[in-house]
Amino acid sequence: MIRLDSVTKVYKGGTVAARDVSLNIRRGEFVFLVGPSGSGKSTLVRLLLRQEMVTRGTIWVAGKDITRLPAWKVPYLRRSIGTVFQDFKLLSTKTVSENVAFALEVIGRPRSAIRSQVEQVLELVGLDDLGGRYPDQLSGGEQQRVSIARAFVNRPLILLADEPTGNLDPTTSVGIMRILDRINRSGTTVVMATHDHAIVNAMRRRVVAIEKGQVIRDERGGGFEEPPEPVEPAVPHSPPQNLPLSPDPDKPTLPRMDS
Amino acid sequence: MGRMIFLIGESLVNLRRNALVATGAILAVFISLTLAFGALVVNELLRLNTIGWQQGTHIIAFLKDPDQGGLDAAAQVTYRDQVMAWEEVETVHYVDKAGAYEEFKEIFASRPELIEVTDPLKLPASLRIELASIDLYRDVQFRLSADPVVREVRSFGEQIEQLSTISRVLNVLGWGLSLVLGLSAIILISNTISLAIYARRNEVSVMKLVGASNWFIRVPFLLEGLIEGVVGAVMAVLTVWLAARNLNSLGETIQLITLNIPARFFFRWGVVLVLFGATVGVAGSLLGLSRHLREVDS
Repeated sequence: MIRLDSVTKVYKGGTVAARDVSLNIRRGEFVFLVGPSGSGKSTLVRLLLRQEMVTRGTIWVAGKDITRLPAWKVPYLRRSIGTVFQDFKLLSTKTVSENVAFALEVIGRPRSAIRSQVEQVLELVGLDDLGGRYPDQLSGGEQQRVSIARAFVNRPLILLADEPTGNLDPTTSVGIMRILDRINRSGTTVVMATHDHAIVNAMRRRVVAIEKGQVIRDERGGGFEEPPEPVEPAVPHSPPQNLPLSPDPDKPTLPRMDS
Repeated sequence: MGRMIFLIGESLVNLRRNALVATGAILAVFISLTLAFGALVVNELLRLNTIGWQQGTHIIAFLKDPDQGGLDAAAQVTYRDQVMAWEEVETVHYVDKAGAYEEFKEIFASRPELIEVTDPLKLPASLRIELASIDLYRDVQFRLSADPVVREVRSFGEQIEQLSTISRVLNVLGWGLSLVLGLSAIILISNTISLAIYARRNEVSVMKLVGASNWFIRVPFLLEGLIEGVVGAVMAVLTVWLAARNLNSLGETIQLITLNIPARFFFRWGVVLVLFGATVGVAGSLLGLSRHLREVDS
């Protein structure tokens, strides 16, 4: 579904955000891109969306070399990729339903199809009774669910999530991950950039660790070790004991969507 | 159809959000095209009036009386025939003293005291000359002035030349100002579009993310510019048309000149100006889009 062959991205000024990255992601996989801030996770997401051009290398998405894709075809690439961001990117002047419908309106879907698809996807993310609300009337978790609904309403082949839980508390994050898990089980390939150890360790999916623009680990069912704290914190860090998240692979405490 | 409604709705939202700046852009187009159309109308009026004069008398030669060294009535008629034979001359109409007095009475019909004190014999006979071409008026005027039997020569050629000069100056001024204001209208519309893009940068960013095609993103902004250009142009055409209608009613009271411009002139140039306004609007939009759309995070 996604293949990166020796991809290098150097920004103006010489910052190397990706260095000779090769990666192969199969259809239906759930992949975590992990690493500290500035490691190059978001750059990979932007490269997959063709928001950035590679400096060297090739990226294949759904059988197409997107590095050679003419600019006018980029919108068609993006229709096959749903995107979720840390800051939700919702339109404050539109209601929940309108935000989700907007993604279909701008690609020219007929109104009748839009209505039914929006209803379905809002039900999927558990917001079917909040369709008339505006984003500022929702909690952070609810806003992120709207963002996921908008990303998935077009039934994309791939869903890219860049720190989708970055602005959310651990409990809300669990809800978001349950939705992403459910979407993945429907056959959609999910690639999620995160530095949330608890979530990665609880999900036990493929983990691609990136540091200084390089892939340093690619492990199926892997975890994500928390870097050692330089100073002992006064209050214990995540994951909190009362959350259904555990790094122990024998205790998959993140509830399965299909169960 | 649904997409068109969506796009028109989006451009109306743009206009509503940028109402003040959009009004400025519309006014710039309006002023620019009003000046251009005004210049066209003035030019047309001058053309219509000079055509009217060219079809009538171009030169009047007042003849001396016999006691001033001039010719008697019979010789004056002969003199008319001589002038008529000049190749620059199309027709000559001889107005004798009695005819001149009749004209005088017509002109001063509202002032009977003036008519009463005027001696008919004091009014000179004259030749009313229509030239083959108005360009030749200087030659004929010179020949007549040099003739000792002619008391005075009056020519409308000068007035026609002056009007042509005025017309040219008005044209240059009108079109020059229109050009400058037209350019400022393009820049203003471009700024309106830039502001609209800035105000809607989140929507544009989301549109790009979810795969809206480039033309789909651009169309609402192009429509916005188009609406501004067309509204400004329609306002300009209506304003000049109304002004010309009022002038026409004034012309009916003046009678000496025609201020009546045919409706087909307004229709023909109205369509041209509205198309020009639309072009200005779209050009401004394209300028704004090229400058700022790429800056929106894609």
